[in-house]
Amino acid sequence: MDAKVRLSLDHSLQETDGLYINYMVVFERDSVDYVEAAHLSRQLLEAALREVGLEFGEDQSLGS
Amino acid sequence: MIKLLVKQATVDYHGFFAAPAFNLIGEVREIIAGLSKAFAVHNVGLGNFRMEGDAAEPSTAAALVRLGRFGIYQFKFDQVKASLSGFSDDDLEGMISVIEKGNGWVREAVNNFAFKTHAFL
Repeated sequence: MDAKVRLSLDHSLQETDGLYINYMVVFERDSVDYVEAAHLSRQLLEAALREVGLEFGEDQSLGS
Repeated sequence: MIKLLVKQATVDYHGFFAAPAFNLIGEVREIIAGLSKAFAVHNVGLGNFRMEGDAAEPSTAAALVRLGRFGIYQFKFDQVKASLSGFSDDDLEGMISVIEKGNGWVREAVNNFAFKTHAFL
């Protein structure tokens, strides 16, 4: 993917006993395939979360 | 494995320019017309636009376009930004399409244009 990635996990200030997840992906170049970047970034996030014993529910969309 | 229940999610995109869009400073008509055309498939009208910041301070001036479920797209003279909150996977794909369309217009409208950095948060 050739990008800089940062994942932060912290206690949520809004949800009791909740997690705050901050995930940043930075591409330091002119052109980016946004669709590919979005898919790869999501895959990387899910893989990283699995490493620490977390996963999104199967029917979870990223929103309320 | 602990399953996460998402209560709130926001995606922000920032595209920072290698150099400011000097040729568009003071060209509100061209910016609005260009973004209107870029987002025509979303039936964008003047009511979708909001001009922000201080025209006397180019670094703060911005043209913001509201795109309903696909969030907002904002043009500034040194960057573009897109934001989306409370979304489905389809909405996220729509946001990506918005970024492609908006950035496509920027590349055409700005002289000698290049992005320096793209950041997704």
